[in-house]
Amino acid sequence: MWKLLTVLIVGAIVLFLIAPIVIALPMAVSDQTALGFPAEQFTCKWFEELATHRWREAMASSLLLGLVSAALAVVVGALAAFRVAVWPASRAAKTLSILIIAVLIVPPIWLATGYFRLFGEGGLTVLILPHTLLALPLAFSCIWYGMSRLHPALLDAASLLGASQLSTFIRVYLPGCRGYIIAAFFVAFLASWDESVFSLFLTGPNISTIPKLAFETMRMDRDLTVAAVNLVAGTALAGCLVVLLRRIDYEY
Amino acid sequence: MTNQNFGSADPVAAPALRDVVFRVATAAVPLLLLGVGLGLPLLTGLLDMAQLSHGGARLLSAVLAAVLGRTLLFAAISGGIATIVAWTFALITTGWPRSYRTLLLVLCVLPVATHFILRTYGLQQIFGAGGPMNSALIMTGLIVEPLPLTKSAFGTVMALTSWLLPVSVFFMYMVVRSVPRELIDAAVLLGAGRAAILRNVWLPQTTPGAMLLLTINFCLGYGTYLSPRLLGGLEDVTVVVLIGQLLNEGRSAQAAMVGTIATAIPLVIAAIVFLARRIHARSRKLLIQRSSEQCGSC
Amino acid sequence: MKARKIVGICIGVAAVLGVLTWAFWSPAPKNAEQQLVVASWGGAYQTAQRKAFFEPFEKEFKVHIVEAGTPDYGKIYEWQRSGAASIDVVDVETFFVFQAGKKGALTRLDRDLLPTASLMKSAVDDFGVASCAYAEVIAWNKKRNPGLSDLKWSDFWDTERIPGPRAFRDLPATTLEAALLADGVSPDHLYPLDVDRAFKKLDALRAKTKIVLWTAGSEPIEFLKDRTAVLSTAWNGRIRDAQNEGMPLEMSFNQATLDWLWWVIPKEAKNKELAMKFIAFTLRPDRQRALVENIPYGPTNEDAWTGLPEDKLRQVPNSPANMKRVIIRDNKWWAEHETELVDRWRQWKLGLGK
Repeated sequence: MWKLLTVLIVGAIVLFLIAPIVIALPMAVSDQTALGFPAEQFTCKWFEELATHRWREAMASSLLLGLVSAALAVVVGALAAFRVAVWPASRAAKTLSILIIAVLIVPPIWLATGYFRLFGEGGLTVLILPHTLLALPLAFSCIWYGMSRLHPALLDAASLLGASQLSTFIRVYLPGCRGYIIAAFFVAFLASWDESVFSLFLTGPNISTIPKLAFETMRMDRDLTVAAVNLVAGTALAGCLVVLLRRIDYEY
Repeated sequence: MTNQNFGSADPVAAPALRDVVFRVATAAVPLLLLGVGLGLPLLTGLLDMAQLSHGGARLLSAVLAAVLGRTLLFAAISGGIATIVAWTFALITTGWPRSYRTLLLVLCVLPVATHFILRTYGLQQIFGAGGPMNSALIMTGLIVEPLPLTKSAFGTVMALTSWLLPVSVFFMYMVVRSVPRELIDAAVLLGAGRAAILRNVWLPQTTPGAMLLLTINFCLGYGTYLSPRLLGGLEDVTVVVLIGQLLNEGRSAQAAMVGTIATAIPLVIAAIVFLARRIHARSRKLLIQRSSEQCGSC
Repeated sequence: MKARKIVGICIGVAAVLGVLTWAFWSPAPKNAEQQLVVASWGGAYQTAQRKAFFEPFEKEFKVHIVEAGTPDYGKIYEWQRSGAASIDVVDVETFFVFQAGKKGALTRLDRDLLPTASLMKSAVDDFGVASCAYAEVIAWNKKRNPGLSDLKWSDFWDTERIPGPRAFRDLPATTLEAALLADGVSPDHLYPLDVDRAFKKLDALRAKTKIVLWTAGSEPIEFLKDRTAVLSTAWNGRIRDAQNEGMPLEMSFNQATLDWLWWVIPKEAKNKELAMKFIAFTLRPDRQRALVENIPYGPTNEDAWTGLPEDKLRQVPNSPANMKRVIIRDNKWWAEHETELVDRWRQWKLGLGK
């Protein structure tokens, strides 16, 4: 009896999480002007819309921005993770931990307001700092977790063998948490990919990321091109996610 | 052993300059990014607060109080629900076969690969007044008029929970997996039933992780923009939506002021929680020390 | 194992490069031509503008028009502060022309370039000129609520006859007028608005039924489609466009609020001369007629009325027949009271004290 209940609970949780995607993704090929639910006609117009200039630019912008800010977040996060993992009791480690958690705690729109007051509207480059900042806690947590599982005496052993800290970092620690670094990069990319607040308030009219363009067009034009984007890019990301999760789970 | 500061021990030769520079860089580079990223908005926010006129402040205070109250409520409810649901999921699936477990984990985390705007559209379609949820409820005769499940407080909480859940599930899954297998085996050997193992092993071991998740979820739910904006009703103006409105109206100075006040609250709450954790950990350490001293002669 | 990893990485890099190339590959170098950045309201309206204004202008003047996102009034004020505007011509509502003109955020227009003689008197100002007239109407779904016609604001408040949620635009403008008209105020005695009375009437509606607010032009259509609202205010052009797509929506011009949409040039715009030429271009009678043919928003150039077919005239809010039934908004009054009423509107939304 308990078994049935637990299965139902887990089933409900999974259903709640998957149902919106299952409903929304097919909208990429449906002409939803027809009344009623679900929509009746099959159409490729959202994919045609995807090929227009502004959506192509938005996709490229999101992709480029995601890659750049994920790379920066991973580099900075790896440095910080090294510091916090190897010298956890130091003042710097504690300050870093506090500040990094603060990034998660602080409402992003407050940061956006501050940047807007200082810099006004900008192009894509103005988004690099906020996206990297947002991705930093995630990348840091991933890499720190990996580094903290390495042996604590590794640094001393390496320096006894004559290696400098920098080369230990690059040739021992980083390869030691290779999987975690890849995971950190992926998670950082996802954080930038779906980030909307900074994109909405900090960019000028010609610059768009996918979330910003989706937000504007969905409400202004009843445009569902974002479903087409997710059908294409989302499947690729989901594939990477599946591979990553299986590796993480089977590692235990 | 894990707390010892191995890196500070001197190697055979004196530390080279390169090492010092690198060590400084590992802290300096992140601190630079964090300092600029967090410090600039702090500066402008404080400056704007200093410049704001009395009248403007009074005008905003009534609105702000109502908005803050609502925001805290949303954050607490959705953060709490997300944490509890994730915790339940992790605890239930821990006893299941590995293949099912991994599959379910993957399914729960999968939404992260899609855009949140799309997911809210899906939620709107499912729970909207003309959607399948309401149609089913009407057909079974439970209700006559469709329930306002979207564009209302319920919709906001639902959207928030749906946003927080995937990462929460993953986090609690990892927390539950990190409970040492030996504890469970020991409890089984001592003859504990399932409920007893749950009460005495699983819950105490996973509570610290769950509390950490709750804090993070609360703060994330507090600071989110899209959920209340897209699925909120008339009165569901959270503090973040208010800041967004002020920015769109060109009142960025007031927005900065509201933002600074609004940011102080989750920071204070998080600080209290983390301090409480440290005090709790220290008191437990003292307790263990004292009891081991007492038992020294046993 | 290693070979598989290398292959995987290569595929990944190739995919990324492929997407980037595909995205940034433009057939013609657009930077060679001069650009004009125009911001408008999207949807059917902007499509009609594209057909009637943007594309013919591009052909005749050999420039490229960049369509920016929704007009953002707050950003226009920010440009005044920062000294650089990213948009040359903005399509704005009436209150903004007066308000921003007073604050000095707009460029004074060159009246010599405009056909001032044939423009409607209320459609010209120092800082902006109206290109079309639209109306905010009451709309409903005739499949769910058949048999309704010519609804007035008192019907909007009648939750017994037409039960269900109501939708307004998330602005006090037009909503307060609607409340007063529903409360029995005659259209001639509407201004200055009795704001307290209007908010009381809105509270009465709120007590009886759920109110939903929209901010973007196509949200009312979504609301009427999925029953988030049974009666909604909407822009008449959008409803007409939805009807053309086959959606069973109906609208009423009875007591609809007539308003203009204006072109303005921000003070710090880069291409002021080209912007002026563009504005004058859109006011030509043939261009105005072309707009009406694509969306039922009325012309502001009196010369454009000749030659419009009867069925199009019926849908245009400022046609002689419809002018008798619509309410004309007093935008000078609104320009003065907008800011305080936005704050009061926000308080009302939160349910705070009067």
